[in-house]
Amino acid sequence: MVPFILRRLVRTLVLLLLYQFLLFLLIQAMPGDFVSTLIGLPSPLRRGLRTFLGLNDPLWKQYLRWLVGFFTGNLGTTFQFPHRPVGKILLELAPRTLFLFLPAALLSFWLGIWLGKYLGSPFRRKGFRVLVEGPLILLGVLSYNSFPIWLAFVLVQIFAIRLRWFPAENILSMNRWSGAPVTANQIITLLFLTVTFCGVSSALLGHLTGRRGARRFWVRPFIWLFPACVALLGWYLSGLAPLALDLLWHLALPLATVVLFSFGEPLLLMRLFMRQQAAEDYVHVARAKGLSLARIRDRHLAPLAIIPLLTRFLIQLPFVLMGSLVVEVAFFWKGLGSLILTAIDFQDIPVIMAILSVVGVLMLVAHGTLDVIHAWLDPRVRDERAIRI
Amino acid sequence: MWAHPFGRAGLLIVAFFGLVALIHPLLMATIWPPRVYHPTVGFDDTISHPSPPSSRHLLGTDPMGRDVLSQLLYGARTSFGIGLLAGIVAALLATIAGLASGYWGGWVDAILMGISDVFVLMPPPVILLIIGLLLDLHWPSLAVMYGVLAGMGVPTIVVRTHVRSVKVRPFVDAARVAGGGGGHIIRYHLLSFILPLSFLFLAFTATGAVLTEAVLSFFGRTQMRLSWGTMIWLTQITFRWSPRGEPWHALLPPVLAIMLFCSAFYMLGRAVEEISEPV
Repeated sequence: MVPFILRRLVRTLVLLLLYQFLLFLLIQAMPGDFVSTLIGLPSPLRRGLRTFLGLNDPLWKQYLRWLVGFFTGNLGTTFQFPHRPVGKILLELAPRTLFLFLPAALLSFWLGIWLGKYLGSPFRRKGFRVLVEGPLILLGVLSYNSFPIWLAFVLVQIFAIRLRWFPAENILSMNRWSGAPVTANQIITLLFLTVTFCGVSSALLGHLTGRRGARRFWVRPFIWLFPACVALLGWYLSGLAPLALDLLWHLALPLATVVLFSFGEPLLLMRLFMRQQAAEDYVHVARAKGLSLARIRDRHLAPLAIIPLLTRFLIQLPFVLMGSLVVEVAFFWKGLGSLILTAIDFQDIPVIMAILSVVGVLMLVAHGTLDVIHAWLDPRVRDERAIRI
Repeated sequence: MWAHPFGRAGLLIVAFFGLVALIHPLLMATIWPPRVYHPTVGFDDTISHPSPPSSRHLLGTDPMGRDVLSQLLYGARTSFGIGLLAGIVAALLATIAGLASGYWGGWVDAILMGISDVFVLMPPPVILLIIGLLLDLHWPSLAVMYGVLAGMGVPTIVVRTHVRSVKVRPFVDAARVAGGGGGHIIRYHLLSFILPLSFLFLAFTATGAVLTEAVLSFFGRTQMRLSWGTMIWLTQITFRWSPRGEPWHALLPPVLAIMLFCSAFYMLGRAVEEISEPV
């Protein structure tokens, strides 16, 4: 196992270098450079700026400078504003993108899997098939294939302009945040911590109350309520609750958009895998044992159907990420999406390289982890790839 | 294909759009005078624009005074072009590279998998945004580049995995013992197992290409003459903040068309996956 992991690590590193090299070449191949995107600058100033930004150096020198910077944790400074390190900009904007992307990815997959479990169950009734299954599948297919910005517009028209329930743009309301003691990023971090706390502590509580007692107590399904109450109390006492609510209120429409256009695929796949599982013999055994239909569906079919979905989840992640970047632009949500658009316009090499490298590193880590888990679970596939369909 | 509900719906919708694409030149030649109804340079000087649907313009006109229905019908041609070209490029690349890499293994495998591992990391929309500054993105170049970007990634890896699982079956050994060379075995023994997978990626890539074209056009980064994406780009500016969603009649048709068109190819792909189960 250890040689396999080492081999995988070396391969990942080589891939990362190759990826960055190609990106650098591609960006450098764009006609002109950052200075030529500035209109109306006198030419001595242009020459000075080029020298200052190091754009006059030969390509290999620029590339090496960037590469050394990347591996020593220095992502360079952006061209657009003087003396703004790219690392700082990323740290400022990345939480906002994650604030939209992570809940959206998890929620859409959870929703897709949960709905797919019911739609793919072999025990569903006829009325359910006609009334629920058809419309849901239709909604899933249509929204998965719709233009994300259009979905955003429709939701804005209905919920922001007609009903005025949710705001149509921005990440926070300016007037509520003026003079606030904390920044939006701190609140977002706190929200992430709260969710992690609730998850971990309800898992712990569930473990402590034990499996045997669980069937008798009505407590078990509601066990998450205890940490949730603690967290809510904490938010209330700290006085930051209105700010957090404001952020969540602004999150509603973008989140709904991303979830709406990415839950279709997991739904259809889960349904397919459930139906494939339903033909197996163990289902007959379970029925012969007299287990309830819901129990067979939830405990016997669903866990096995989820396994092939997990690799798909990974393949889908970049798709959801791209979608949420596009949706960010539609909602004027100041995150990485609008940053990369302006960076490409201005040929701001450090910013483009930094964002795409971060995305690449995340993907490589995810694929590497998947391959290792795969090889660990099934030693036959050590030289196989985990990406499959 | 026809027996599967997805396959049936997909085929019907694709046939419908094919008909739509064919009917446009006929209409232009017969009942629509090109001066008024031409999809890119037509202009109706008898009314003000954008105008709501009327008997003269069944779907109204856009802010530049062009007939929306005519544009919509014309756009079907562009979308077919982009979707099919990108899909075919991706499916061809994935099939050839996946077969070669999976069957021969060794250094061919190492090189091809290295390439596709890098391509997996490249998000096509962002790369196309960068390329859009480098080249003029007309529909064939956009389609080919999307096909390459999408096809060399996940599809190649999946085809390779599948080839490796088929290659170890006894009939392949039998063919080899009987004296069949690599080309023969791939052509006559492996290809038929891979074709459903290729078609599946053709359909999914077509969906992705049309959607990506729409997104790129929405940001104004393509030099497309006319497509559903550019129709959205032109009308959305006034749409967002107008109290009654004007001009919805110019925005709704291209959006719905993209949705239906992509859904059709997506459902075809799904149908193939569910029928042939290439898992």
